Amino acid sequence: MILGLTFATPLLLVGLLAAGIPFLLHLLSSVRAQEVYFPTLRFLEMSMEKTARRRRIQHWLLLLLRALLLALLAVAVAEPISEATGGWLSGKNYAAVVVLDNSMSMSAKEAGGTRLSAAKAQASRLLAGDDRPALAAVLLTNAAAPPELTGRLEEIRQRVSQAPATHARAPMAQKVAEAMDLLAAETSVTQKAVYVFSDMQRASFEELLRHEGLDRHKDIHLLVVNTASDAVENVGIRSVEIDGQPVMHETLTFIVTLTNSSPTDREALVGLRVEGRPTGQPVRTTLRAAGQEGASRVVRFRHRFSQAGPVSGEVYIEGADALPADNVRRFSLEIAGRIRALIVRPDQETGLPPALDPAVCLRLALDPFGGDASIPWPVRPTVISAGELRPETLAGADIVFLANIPSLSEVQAAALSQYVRTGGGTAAIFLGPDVDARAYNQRLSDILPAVLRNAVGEVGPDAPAVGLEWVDFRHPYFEGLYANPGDYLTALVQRRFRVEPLAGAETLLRLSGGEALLLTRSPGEGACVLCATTASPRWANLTTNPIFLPMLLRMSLLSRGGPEAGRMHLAGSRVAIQPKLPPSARSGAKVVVTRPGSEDSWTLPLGADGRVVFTETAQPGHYRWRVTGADAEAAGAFAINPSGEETDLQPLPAETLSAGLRRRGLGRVYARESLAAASAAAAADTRGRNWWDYLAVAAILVLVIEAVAANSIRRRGEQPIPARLNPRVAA
Amino acid sequence: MAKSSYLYFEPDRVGRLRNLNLLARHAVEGFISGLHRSPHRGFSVEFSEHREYSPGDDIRHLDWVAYARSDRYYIKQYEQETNLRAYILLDVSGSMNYRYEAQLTKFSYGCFLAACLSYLMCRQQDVVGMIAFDDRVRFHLPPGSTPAHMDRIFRRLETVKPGKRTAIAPTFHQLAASIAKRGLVIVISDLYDDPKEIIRALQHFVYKKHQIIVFQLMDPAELDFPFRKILSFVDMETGQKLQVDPRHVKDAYRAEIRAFVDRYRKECSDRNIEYALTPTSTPYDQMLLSYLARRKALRR
Repeated sequence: MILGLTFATPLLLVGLLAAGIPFLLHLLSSVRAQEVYFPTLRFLEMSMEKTARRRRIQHWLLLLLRALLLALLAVAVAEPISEATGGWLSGKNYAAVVVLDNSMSMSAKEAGGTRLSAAKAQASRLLAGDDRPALAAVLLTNAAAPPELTGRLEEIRQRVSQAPATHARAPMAQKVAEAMDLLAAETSVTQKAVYVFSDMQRASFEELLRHEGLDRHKDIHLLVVNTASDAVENVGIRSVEIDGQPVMHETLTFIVTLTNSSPTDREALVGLRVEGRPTGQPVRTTLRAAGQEGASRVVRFRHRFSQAGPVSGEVYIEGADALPADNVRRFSLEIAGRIRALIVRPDQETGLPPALDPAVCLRLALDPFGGDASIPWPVRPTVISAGELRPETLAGADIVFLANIPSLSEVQAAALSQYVRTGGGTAAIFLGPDVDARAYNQRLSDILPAVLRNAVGEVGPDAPAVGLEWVDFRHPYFEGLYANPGDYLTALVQRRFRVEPLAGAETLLRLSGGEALLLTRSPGEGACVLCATTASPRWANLTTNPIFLPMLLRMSLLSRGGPEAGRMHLAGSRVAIQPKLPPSARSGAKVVVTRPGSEDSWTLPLGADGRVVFTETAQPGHYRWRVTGADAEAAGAFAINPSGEETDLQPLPAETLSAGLRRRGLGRVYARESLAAASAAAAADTRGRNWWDYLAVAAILVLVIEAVAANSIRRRGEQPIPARLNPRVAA
Repeated sequence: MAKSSYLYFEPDRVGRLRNLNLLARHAVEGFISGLHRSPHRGFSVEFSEHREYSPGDDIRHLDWVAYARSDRYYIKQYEQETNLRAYILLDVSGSMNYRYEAQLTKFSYGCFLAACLSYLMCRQQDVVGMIAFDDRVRFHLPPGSTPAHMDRIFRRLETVKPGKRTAIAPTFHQLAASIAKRGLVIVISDLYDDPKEIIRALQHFVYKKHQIIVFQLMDPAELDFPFRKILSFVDMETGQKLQVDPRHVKDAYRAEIRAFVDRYRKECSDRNIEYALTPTSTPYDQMLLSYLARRKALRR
């Protein structure tokens, strides 16, 4: 050690001898200058005398600069390292928090065990080895209990060895922050470190990179030990989405996303089971190697449920791989009975042929098969006259269609309004020639999406027609019907009501010229749809247009609300169960949750708000619940799935993590493939700062100064000396 | 004017100077009544001053006007115009053979100047002698004014070659002692010797009542020192060498040479010696033209 510095390559200090080269050259060399006659040397000699001192100083200064330059370079290449103000933790009093990743990806099997077992082994080595901390705590990524720092390392080792594998994702950013906060609060030691034993699964650690605020703990070392290897063979189900309405006879689409974490291409056999029984043949698909395009694939299954009621099932991958837990993804659905559609026709017979009767057209569109029980159809329409429209008839309907109803009584209007606002139903109003616009505006203004004005347009074989200019084909009524947007715009309308959209209304169809044709509004729990023309060919060809039937079907299916999102949950999440009980039946009620196929059972009291929060979701599977002790009955089911993010077993590169955290101000980050390597990296860095770069910069500066000093008065060009003044030539 | 057959005489150039006379500013002795004032107050053309009548004086020179005024007798005295006797001292030492970028070496310039001055003075019926010297007198032509004398001067200039060393002061002392009659001494030299000794030697001329004009010839490179790269300067007289990096000494050199020149200027001025720093980059006829014009203006 010299002057408090050690050197990474002390042998290269021999280069300091090069600092003597300028002096040696000065002694050995002599500049052979060109000779030139001059009348007298008298004044030159006097000038030399006068400037001798200055010249000597300049000369020696240049020599010293050159020597300094060479010395700086020699020392720079020897890499001087200053001793750090705080040494490394080895053999010293320090505190450590062990963050043990026990997320789902850690259950992946690798040579000799699982990633979690490898992590536990390394953590135990730290806690039992020569470099063990004086104080320690263990923080599981998937456990809630906050630890305390303790000197009883045996207890910590036990907790490490007993740490269970889970099916949840690792909230790594949160846990590392908790670990650092815990250490920061400890004042009995000055040296602190967080050791993370994890597979550095990409999703968790990318979240760590984005986390703000870690740089306030700059003095805490962060050592990340990657306990995963790169060669893991696994294809997992990342997610399952269900598209469609869970209604009897309605086809649902199961969209399955698969991820390959293997270093090679892999084939997967994916199937769908409902109530334990496969629904058709599994689908074979090939996924490219991890990191390549095609490493993720989507597989679709279509299934129609022919009975109403709760249904459970799963999407599965046949065969075993490194992580079986992500080979199954469960779902739980409540299949509703057929949609009850109520079609209200005018009281008075119109005398129109069926082809022009809007009620007939609606019925045919809503039930093309005429109620044939042998043909599964999700909608069951019923036609009533306007006089039969009462609150009790509305109560049983999912959707009500008004077909050219002239007006509604106040009672009917109030009932319809309540049906929509608080009942959650959908009122679809098709106008027609008999409609009293003023009456509609007066009595249904609280649910109508627009104000009705006068009817415009002529009818007749030669009457002009206006076409559709715009369709909101992102709306669920029209989404995905056609590949070409132009295929939507084929309807023609001759006569229609002019309407003025109200605040909160959405226009779904618009005619050329900008008039709204179909609007919707959601005043409360339900929705009101208004069509400005007839539901028959009297005024428009809408009913014979390809969008009419799917529009009505979707309108009906969606009248029961959006897709049920509340029945699939991730492991470790909190599940809110809200039985549909009247407030009077809540008192004293309990919810019993069971997991079929096991003896697990939990009983939770129903809250005053009519819900319970179930938290025992560590184990994936199907769960059922039922209400007991209440005057009404209620039951349901839900599924718990492992974290979909954890199916991507590829780790975040250690360099990416280190560099990213250093950019965030966390300078002491060491991510390596083993505890020994991480500790060595931290020890090397903590030895002190390597000053080679500063020395190199200093050498460059000296070089520049020397060049400027040596050439400070160099003029542009040089004057040639006439030959007559050259003694050699003159001679 | 006919083309000259002399190396150092250019009639075209000299012709421009013919209207200017090299007039002595002070009284000098001469043997031909010319344009120059004579120190001898005799009875010549121009009235100088009165003196009281002494018995035996020539009464033709009584100033009757003065008598009417003062009732006393005064004799008029007159300044006698004489011919100028001039000596041109030309330095032909080794250092005079130098030129850098000027067209002429100091030596050639000096020869042209000497020839021109000789011609001018002979033309105004003055007598001029030429002495060339380095560390000794190389040739001595006594004063004369005939065309044959001019020819001798011009031819002699052509034959003399620059010598080696300089010894100005001893030579000047020697010449000052040898020149009997007072006259005009024109020194054409770079004066590269001990200034103190040279001044003392010039003082010797002053003491002998000579009028002195010094033309100090310098090449512009000697004044400006325009060199940039490291050179080994070789003394033209001694052969001594000195390696110099001009960047380091330029400013100091210029200061030294300026001090050297200024010393001569001041010392000459103090002793009423006319001094002209003569860079050889200025054509000698132009230099002489402006010098004589200045001189004429001063005389008025």
